[in-house]
Amino acid sequence: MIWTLIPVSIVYGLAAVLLFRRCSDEVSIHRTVNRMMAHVLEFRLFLDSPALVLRAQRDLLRENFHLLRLILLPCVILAILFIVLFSQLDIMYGHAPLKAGERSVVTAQLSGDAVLEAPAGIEVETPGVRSLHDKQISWRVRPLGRVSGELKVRYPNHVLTKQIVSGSGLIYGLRLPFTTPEIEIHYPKTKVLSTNWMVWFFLISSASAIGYRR
Amino acid sequence: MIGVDGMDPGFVERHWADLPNLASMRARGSFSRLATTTPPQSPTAWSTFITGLDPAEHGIFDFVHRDPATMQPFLSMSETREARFRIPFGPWQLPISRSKVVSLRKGKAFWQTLEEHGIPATIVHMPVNYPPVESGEGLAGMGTPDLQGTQGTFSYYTDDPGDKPRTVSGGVISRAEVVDGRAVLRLEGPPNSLRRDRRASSAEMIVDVDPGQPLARVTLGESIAIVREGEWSDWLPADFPLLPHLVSVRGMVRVFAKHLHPRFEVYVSPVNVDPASADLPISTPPSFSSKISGQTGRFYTLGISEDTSAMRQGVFDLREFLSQSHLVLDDERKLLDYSLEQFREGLLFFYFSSVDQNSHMLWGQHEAELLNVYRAVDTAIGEALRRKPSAEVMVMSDHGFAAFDRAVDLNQWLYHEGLLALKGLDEIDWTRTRAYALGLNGLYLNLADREHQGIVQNGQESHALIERIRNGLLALRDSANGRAPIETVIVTDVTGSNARIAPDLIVGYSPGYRASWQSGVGGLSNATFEDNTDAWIADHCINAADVPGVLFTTRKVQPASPSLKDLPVSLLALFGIAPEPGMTGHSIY
Repeated sequence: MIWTLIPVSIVYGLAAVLLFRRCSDEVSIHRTVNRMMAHVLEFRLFLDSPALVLRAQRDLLRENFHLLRLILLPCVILAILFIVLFSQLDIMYGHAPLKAGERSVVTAQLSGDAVLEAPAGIEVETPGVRSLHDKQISWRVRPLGRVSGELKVRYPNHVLTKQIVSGSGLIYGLRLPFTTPEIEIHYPKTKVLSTNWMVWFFLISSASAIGYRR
Repeated sequence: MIGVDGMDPGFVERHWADLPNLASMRARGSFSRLATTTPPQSPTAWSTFITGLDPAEHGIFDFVHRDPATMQPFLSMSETREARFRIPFGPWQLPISRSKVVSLRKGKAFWQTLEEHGIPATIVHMPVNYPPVESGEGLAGMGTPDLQGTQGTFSYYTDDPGDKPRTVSGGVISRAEVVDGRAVLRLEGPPNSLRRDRRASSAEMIVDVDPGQPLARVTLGESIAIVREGEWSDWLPADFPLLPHLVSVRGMVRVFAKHLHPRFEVYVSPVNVDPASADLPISTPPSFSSKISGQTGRFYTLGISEDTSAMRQGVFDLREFLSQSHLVLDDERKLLDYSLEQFREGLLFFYFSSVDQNSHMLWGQHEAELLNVYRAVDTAIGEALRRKPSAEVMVMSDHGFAAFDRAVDLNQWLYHEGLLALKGLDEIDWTRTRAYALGLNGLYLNLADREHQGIVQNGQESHALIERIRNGLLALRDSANGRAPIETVIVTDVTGSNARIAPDLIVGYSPGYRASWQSGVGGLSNATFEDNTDAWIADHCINAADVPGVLFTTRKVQPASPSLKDLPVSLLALFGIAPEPGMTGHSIY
C-alpha cells in the first residue's frame, strides 16, 4: 500500500515547491525570513536592554504577519488541492476492502422502496432498512470471497451504481469533497504500516519538497 | 493445559458416550476427580492453581472481601489505584500521574518460573490474572472488568410503559422513545476520571427501525450494523469522550434486537474493552490483544462474558441466554484455534468459561442444553488433541457443581442467635454485633483489634465464640425438610498479612444449599431459609468435598487423590523444574 502512496506524496511535495515558485515572491520571502532571524538574534544581543528586546519582539511579530501574507496564496491553493485529494486518498489508504465473511452496510440516499443487486460473491443478507429521518435505505451485505464488482440500487425508473471491493487491494472510485455519496459502502478503517496514511503523506511530501529545493 | 471452569466429574461420567474426546483421554491416559480448595470458589481455586499456594498464602478467599476499617465489601481480585496528583481546572481535573490497576493475588505464577527457565508460556484467559502477570504472552481472564469498571453491566432499552427505568444487579434498564422510527439511546461508558464529579461518559446510539419490517439499523459513532429482530450485531466499537474532541476511551458492544415491532426492546452488552485498542491492561505484552484481534477479529474481553445477570433480571429468556452464551463459546473457539496455530513449544494454557456459567443456569433442569455446551468444549478438546498429537495434554476444572434449591442467610441466623444487632430495619449496629457473614462462604468475628468498631477480644472470648458458632451451625436444621444445611465449618486461623482480610470461619454448605444473595454482600434477607426462586439454579460454593473438579491427562498416571495445588508442581515437573518455595503440592507424574 505504501508503494502507491509514495509517488502520490512525492508529486504533491514537488507541486508545492513549484506552486511557491510561481505564486509567491521568493526574494521577499527570503528577505523576510532573514529579517526574522535578525530579530531573534537581537534578543540575545540586547538581553540587558529590555526596551530593545521589546522592540525586537514587536518587529518579529510584524515580520511574521508579513511572511504569512507572502505565502498566503500558495498555501490556500495547496490546501484546496489537499481537500480535493483528501477524500480520494482517505478512501484508498484509510479504508480496507471488505473482508470475506465479515458483514458490512451499504447505504443509499433514497426515500421510498428500492432493491439492492450485488455482484456474484456478495450476499445481500437483509432487506433494506428505511430511515425516515435520514431519507436513507441501508442493507447488510457479506462478501463470500474476493470480489470486485458493481452494486446496483434499483428504484422506480432509476438505477444507482457503485463499485464494491472485497479481499485485498485498494478501493478506487471518485469521491468529491463535502458531498454525501449516493451509495455509501462502510469499508473498515485501516492504517498504512500501523500509522495513519496522512502521517506518511506529509512526511514523504515534505522530504521530497526539501530534496527538490536543494 | 485446558482449563474448563466448573466441569463436573459426575456430569461427565453420565455422558461418556456424548463426550468422545474426553472418553478417549480417559481410555488412553487417565481421568480422576480433582480435589478443590476450601472454599470451592473460582477466584480461590484458580489462585491456588496459579501459585500452588493455599488461600491463606495467596490471600483470595472469596469473590468479595471486606475492608475491616470501613466494613465495605470490595472485589477480591484486583484494585484500581487512581492517579495521586491532579490539577483542578473548573469542572475538570487533569491527572499528572498515572492510575494503576493492581492484582490483589499474592504469590508467583507458575509460568513466571517456566519463563525464568527459558520455557515459553502462552496463557489465554487465565482467571484471577488481571492485570496479567508480565511474563510470556497472556490475555487476562475472570476478574477483567468492563469499561465501566464493573464485572459486567448490560443496558436494556424498552418503550414498555410497565417497565420502569431502574438499576438492577448487573444492568441498567432505561426507557426508550421511538419517534418516526428512530430511537436515540444514551449508552453509558466509564466514569469520566477527568471530571471532578466523575460523571459517567456516554455515547449516543441511534436505532432506526424500518417502518414495515422487524429490522433496524444501529449507528454508534462511526460503527454501523443492521440487525433483524431476534438477532445479534457484530462487535461495534464505540468511543466515549472524556475531554470533547481531545481524549476518549474506546470500548465495544454487541446489540441484541429482542423486539422491534410493535414493542421496542433492545439489549446492549456490557461495554467490553476493545482488544484492538485496549485502554485497560488486558494483555501482556500490551500489544498481544491487538495482535490476536488482527487475526481473529474482535472477541469478548470481559472476565465473565456470559450474561447470567440479564437472564436473572428477566431481560433474557433461556433461548436468548443460550444464544449469547454461544457467542462467547464461538469467541473462545476462535481464540483456541489461533492459540493452537501459534503454539510451537513450551506451555499453552487455555480457559473455557462456558461450562461454569451455563451450569449455573441449566444444571439439573436443562440437561440437554447443558450437554450441548459440554459437547462443544469436548469438540474443542478433540481439536487440540488432533492438531497437537505429540503434546502432553491436561484437561482440568477448578470445581464441580451442585443444585442450589435453598438459600441460607447466615446473618439472619446470627441475628436470631443474638450475635448480630440491627439499628433500624436492616442496618447492622457494629457496636453490638459480635459476628457477621459476608461473601459466599465466609463468616467473620467483629474483633476489637481488627474491625473498626470491633467488640470481641481476641483470645479466650474469640475462641469461645468460634466454638459456639461452629456448633450452632452444624446443629442447624432446615425446618422445611429437617435436613442439615451445613456439613462443615472450618476455622481458618490465618496469620500474617492476609489475616486482616481472611474470614474466621468457612462454611461448607450441603448440596442443595448455598448462602443467600443478601448475606453474600453482607446484608440480611427476611428468613434464615428461603427457596431459591432465582434463574441461578446451581452453584459450587458449598462444602469442597462435594464439588471436586476433573483431571484428564493424555499420559497414563495413577495419582492417588490429586488436588488443584498438585497441578502447578506437576507442570513444572514436566519441564524438569523443581517447585517454588511455598508450593505444597506433589507432582502427579
